[in-house]
Amino acid sequence: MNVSKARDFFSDYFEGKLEAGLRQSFEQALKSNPQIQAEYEEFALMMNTLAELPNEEIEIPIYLSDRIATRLEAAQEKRTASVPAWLGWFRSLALAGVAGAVLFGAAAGVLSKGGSVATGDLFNFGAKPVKPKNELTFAFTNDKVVVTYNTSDNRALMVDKRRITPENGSVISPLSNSNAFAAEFVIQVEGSEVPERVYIPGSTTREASEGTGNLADFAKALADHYRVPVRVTAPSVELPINWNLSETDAYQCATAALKSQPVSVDQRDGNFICITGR
Amino acid sequence: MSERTSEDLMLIERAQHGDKSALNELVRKYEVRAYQFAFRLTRNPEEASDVVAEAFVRVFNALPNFKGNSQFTTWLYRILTNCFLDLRKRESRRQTLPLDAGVQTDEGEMERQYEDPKGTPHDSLERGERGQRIEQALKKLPEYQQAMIMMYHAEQLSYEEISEALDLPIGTVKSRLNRARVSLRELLARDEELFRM
Repeated sequence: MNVSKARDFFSDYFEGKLEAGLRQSFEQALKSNPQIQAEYEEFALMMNTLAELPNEEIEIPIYLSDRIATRLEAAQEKRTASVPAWLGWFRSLALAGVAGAVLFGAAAGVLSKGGSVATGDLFNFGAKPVKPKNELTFAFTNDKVVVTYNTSDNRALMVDKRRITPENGSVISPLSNSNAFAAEFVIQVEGSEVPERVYIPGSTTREASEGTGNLADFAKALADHYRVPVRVTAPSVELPINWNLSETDAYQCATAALKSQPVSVDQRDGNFICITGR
Repeated sequence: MSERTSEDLMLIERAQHGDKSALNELVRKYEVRAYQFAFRLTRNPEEASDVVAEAFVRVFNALPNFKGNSQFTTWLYRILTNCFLDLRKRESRRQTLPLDAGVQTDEGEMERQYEDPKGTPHDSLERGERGQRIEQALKKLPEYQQAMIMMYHAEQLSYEEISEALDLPIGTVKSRLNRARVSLRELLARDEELFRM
């Protein structure tokens, strides 16, 4: 058996699946050919390292669920004419996601190679979907943002430091802005770490211009120039941003201004610009 | 049929009949697993998120035609793999400069500096040198081989499941996977020679 032929059997031999006759020939070649021996030793070492791959920790980005929901909404919009009732229902995915969770790979050896599950839920790689305990949704109609909050553990909702206690597990809070320029509303489920900030355009349309400031300043400029509500989900808005309001739409403007920042940009329901910290 | 498979089929059937919560449930159930696979292929959170989002859009669009002949998970792996391959195709069309090409400056040609998206050198050290070298070598394999290796070794799919996901006979899966591993060993051996120099 030459080196090239021997390589064809590396995997089967390593997994103990080589039938008896071939195994004998392969073992003979291993003993007599130092090159085959050296290559197989490296192969076996590599296979052992590959076996550790499932144990790698992979952090799930906070914006993943949002991004999926955004793309599904866009796909749905293409189909809207035929099934209008579905419009917008993907949105409920976004806040129910697996924000920031560090998930572990499957415990080595728990899943049998035959595809059957040895124990519990580990086929899902140790990661169980997280059910939403507190769900916040936002809708923009007639220059108002309506915040809907559903909770299963009855936590209060803070809107600009005003504490609102849920009734029957939910809060509906309309927000509006009668000022000339965009207003910021800080919304936070009591006890949660990351607040939501919503920017509602004022009555004056801002002219196209370049600007510099932090993320909050940019969100206000965006809201006032393009007449769209902006939602920012990030621990802080102190990121320095340079922007130019000359793009044709708000999404393109936000994408261009934030391309090198640790945030992602999505547009939902055709109006809300959502900026999410990574 | 396993409990998980029949539960998925029920969700798919409900989604096919317009039940809005059923697809939500499928997405919630599999987004983490899909992301892990996509991240292992791309090693980039942005690209991995795009691959996953695109894959679920394709699931949504193709749901009416899903007959339930294969498991939802293997179908999802197939779609994810196709999205990853499409991403790389788009990139290769866009790319005009090889990554290792130098940059002309006033002081002559300088090596390009790229930010490592995988974190600090300290993080890299923790991942283990051999694991890192395998990671680097994997990137040099053809995308299709990378996907097969990740399906088997990281995602722990069986040969049968990979065969279903890639619509290939089991014998072909085994021989291609062996070829991928042998190529990976060769890349690692070349890498080790470089280390010795």
